[in-house]
Amino acid sequence: MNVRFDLSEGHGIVTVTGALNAACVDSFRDQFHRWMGDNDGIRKIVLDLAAMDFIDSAGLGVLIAMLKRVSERGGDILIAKLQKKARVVFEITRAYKIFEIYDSVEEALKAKA
Amino acid sequence: MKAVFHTGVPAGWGDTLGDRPWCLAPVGGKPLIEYWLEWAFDIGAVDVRIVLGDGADEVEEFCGDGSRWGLHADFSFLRNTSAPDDYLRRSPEQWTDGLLYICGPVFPRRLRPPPWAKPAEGVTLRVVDAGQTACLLSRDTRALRAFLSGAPPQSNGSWADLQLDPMTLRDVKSYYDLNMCLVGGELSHYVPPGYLNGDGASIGYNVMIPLSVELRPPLVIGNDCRIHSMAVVGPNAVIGNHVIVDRQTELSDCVVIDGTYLGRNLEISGKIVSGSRVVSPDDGSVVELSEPWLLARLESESRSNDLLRALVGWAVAVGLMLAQAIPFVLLYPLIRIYSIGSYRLSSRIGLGGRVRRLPVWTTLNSQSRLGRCFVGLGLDLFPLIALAAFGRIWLCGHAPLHPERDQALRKRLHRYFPAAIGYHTRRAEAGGHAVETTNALYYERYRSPAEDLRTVVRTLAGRFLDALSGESATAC
Repeated sequence: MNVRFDLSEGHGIVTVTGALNAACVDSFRDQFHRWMGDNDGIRKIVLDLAAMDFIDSAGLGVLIAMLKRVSERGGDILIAKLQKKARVVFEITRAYKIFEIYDSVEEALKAKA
Repeated sequence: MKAVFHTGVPAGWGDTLGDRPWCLAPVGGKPLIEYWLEWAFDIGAVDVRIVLGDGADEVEEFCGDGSRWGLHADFSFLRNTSAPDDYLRRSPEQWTDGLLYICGPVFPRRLRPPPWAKPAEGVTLRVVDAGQTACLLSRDTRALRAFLSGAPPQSNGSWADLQLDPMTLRDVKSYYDLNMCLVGGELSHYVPPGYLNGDGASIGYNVMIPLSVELRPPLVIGNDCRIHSMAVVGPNAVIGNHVIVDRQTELSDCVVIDGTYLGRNLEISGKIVSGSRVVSPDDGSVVELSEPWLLARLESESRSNDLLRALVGWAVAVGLMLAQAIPFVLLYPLIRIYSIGSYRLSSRIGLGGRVRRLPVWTTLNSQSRLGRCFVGLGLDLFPLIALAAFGRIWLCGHAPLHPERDQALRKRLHRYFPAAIGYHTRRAEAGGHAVETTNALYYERYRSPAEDLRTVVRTLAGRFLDALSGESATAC
């Protein structure tokens, strides 16, 4: 799994490539927390999942925990470009009720935080 | 021209018919959403966007990529807190060239058989339900722009010009009446060219009907059905897919939903039957029968995977119990003496839905090395592993649910496996109840012996490594 953190007009864009599963959630969590610590003022974070080909319950758990943490600071995590395999996991676990999911990063960036 | 179908809008009557989402409720033997997809193809809206809600996985599984209907189907979500039309307003420029928008249980009722007229340029037609746009068909760019910017669109034509009379399904009665209209003759309006429905009987593939069965048209029988001897089917019976009608049962003026078993010597008239549930269309009242020889839901799920899981889990549980017995006997008295942790009995839903009192470990002193060692060796799980070895719970599965607090989650789970070890016993995420729910639903779908073994190894190895690195012990 690879993660890239970018900033666009004051919003964060986190691009995840590969699988987000139990084997790499700890590393993902640590990188995210470090980045959040360095960019304390960010309220809206867009997760670009176009290149994420797999997610399991551990990966989903980390995303929900991240959302909780960001929400407590008055922000939101928006998901963009969810691919079929990951989308099925979101459907089965009803995680689509928790996250705001957009068809593209641009749509997510346009949305109100 | 594009089409957007919003299936995430709640429709109360859909819940009374069972667990399936309302857009998959069979109408005249075909799911409602299939009529929408056929309509989209008919008017040339090849790009279809389906906004998912409850039962999202079932809807996506049914629609696939849309190629079955000559369409390109894609899927989106809209969080519950948003208004349904907000989805269109996220990127309004996509929809201004022409749009078929269905937002809720609307049936595109045809006034005559094909060929049907296509909407002309500049036409806008709308169906309003409770002040909201339930259906919109527009080829007017200006009207669409106004709608997407928040103004309610005005119809400037008549649905009758397109040989259509869209019908909003508001309750069980309207759903039942629509089925009766279709089986009574209107179904011929939807039969594609090249097919005949002259005798009023529509029977699907792989249906076994012995000679002694009496069929009284009009009737609709879906695919993969078994009708046993001396049964009488019809008139006005709409039977879904995968239905078994046992001997000497009589069905008339009724709708039988997919996957239902109807026992012997029943007489069903003027009702909707869905699994073990009988719904009265007049008042929407539901009677749930607990006798499976009368009515039952047919389950297609294979149990061999669970049988293998049970065997593997039991063997591993016995091995773990034997390996942990001596360290537990030696360390637990010390744990008690130094007040490092303790067990308390807590009510949980066990196997077969029975409420049991299960031991739950609580760490009282997370700084203690002895406590870290105890948890690092997985000894805090020992009583639960012993229960798994004695067949009282599963070794790997769901977190045992609380009988009151977790009632909603228990209802959502079709299969529940209270267990000693699971996603809940690894490092706890800070997501609270939402994480517990997603974990439980994920496990229900992806459970397998390999996933169980992975979870057991990850849990025990993770605890051991945490103890070595000096991290605080996590309570299960």
